[in-house]
Amino acid sequence: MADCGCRGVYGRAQTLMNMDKPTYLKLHPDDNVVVLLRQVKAGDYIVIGNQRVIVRTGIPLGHKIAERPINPGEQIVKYGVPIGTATAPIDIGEHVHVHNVRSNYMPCRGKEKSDCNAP
Amino acid sequence: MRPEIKGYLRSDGRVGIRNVIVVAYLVECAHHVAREIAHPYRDRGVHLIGFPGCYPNEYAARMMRSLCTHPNVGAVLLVSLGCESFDRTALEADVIASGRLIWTLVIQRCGGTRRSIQTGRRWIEQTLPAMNTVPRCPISPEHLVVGTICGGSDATSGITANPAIGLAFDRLVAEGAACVFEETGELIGCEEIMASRALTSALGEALRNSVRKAARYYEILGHGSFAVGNAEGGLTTQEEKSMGAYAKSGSSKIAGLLKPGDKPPRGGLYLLDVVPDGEVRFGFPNICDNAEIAELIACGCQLILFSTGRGSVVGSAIAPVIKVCGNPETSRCLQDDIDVDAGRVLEGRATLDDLGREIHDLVFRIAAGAQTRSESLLHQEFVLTYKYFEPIGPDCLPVM
Repeated sequence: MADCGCRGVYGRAQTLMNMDKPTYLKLHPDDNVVVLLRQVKAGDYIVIGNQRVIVRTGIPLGHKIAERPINPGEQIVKYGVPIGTATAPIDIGEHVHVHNVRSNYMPCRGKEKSDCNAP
Repeated sequence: MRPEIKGYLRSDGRVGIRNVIVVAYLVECAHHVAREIAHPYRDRGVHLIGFPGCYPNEYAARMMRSLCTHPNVGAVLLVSLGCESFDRTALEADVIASGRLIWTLVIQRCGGTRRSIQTGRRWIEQTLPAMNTVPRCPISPEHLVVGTICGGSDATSGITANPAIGLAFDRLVAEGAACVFEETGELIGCEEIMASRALTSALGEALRNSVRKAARYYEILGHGSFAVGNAEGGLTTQEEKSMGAYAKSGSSKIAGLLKPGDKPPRGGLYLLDVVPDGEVRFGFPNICDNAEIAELIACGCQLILFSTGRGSVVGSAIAPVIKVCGNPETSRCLQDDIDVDAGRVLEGRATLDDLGREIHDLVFRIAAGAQTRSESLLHQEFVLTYKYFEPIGPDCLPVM
């Protein structure tokens, strides 16, 4: 993690046109999740890369979906940095949230530096 | 080519983008008189600031000193009741040393409310023409110190307004400006990421410690940072939430750590630590956004980038505030107040890159004298409370 500030350019964020409005925003080129720019309902489809994905559950605006399949134990990367670890297999287009991600953050306060395993 | 921007050259060598007369009350008891003096001139660059407390506080004294000698300030009228414990003589001496015009009005000696207001206004009338004689000089990016803050955030802030401000910061830092971000209490969880961006490992440790201090402080106050509403808004982890606020800092290396009143010695990106040192006392570290804006200005920021989602309307005394709104509906609702509608990213009408460039360019237009929305609406908010800080450590500033 030593070199991974958000130095990548946010502006490379890609928007995908689906009908007239972009569906999601990718904040950093290294990210494996993208942020929904509008709410989707179960049964809607969205296009990620070349793949047409049917949404299985309703997902609100501002929430994350996987841009590619993610294995359990893999880092969830947003803003170009890990924001948690996958706790279950996550499909492309699947909602990425508290049910399949845990925080990597361990409060460092009052501990020795060596105990501080934050990402 | 950018048009040449003329700043105000102060005799201490600093350069301002505004030429403000500050009317400063030194205790709440002098607030009314000071406000009455300033009010008729508030659209002519006369701004009201002050410290309400009667008991002495080193932090407040340093804040007032930094603000009264700020590069955007050309003249100072101190309004004292007379018996408060604020050391007005020391403040006056510092302002004189900085070459600003200054006068001190003591209400108890001046004959009370009415005569003090008349006397103060007379001084303003005399001083306003003198403000036009301040020498001008061309401004380059190296003269600029730009701060950023977020307030009234919502789920859009972390994906539109904050990353766009980060991109504007990257451009400004690359051109030689100093940029300052703050609110360590909202950076809990990204301290390691932030430390890895420090220019030196010793500075990295200082950055880590500032976040640890904030985590401890907020825990004692009973305020966790991650709330149920955050998860409803789509934020999954503490570090994800903090990254949204942290995105305002952009991607430059971090050159230093400041505390309120410390000035960046050269261009680069700086973290301002606004959480008090020592045991928890005097209550909340920052009672509202303007308390933090005042601290950014005390660090020499001539201009503030304010990120919002739910919609803030504030400006500030002394320095213009540019409001960048992440939520397109808020931008429509508060259209007179919002300078940059970053919500266009959500609607596919702009990219983050477009916005970063737009904010960067707006910084130079405002520096050249164009008014922000809050300036044109005469927003001149100011808040200063009690705090305690220890000086920054030796590793906190870049070697010149």
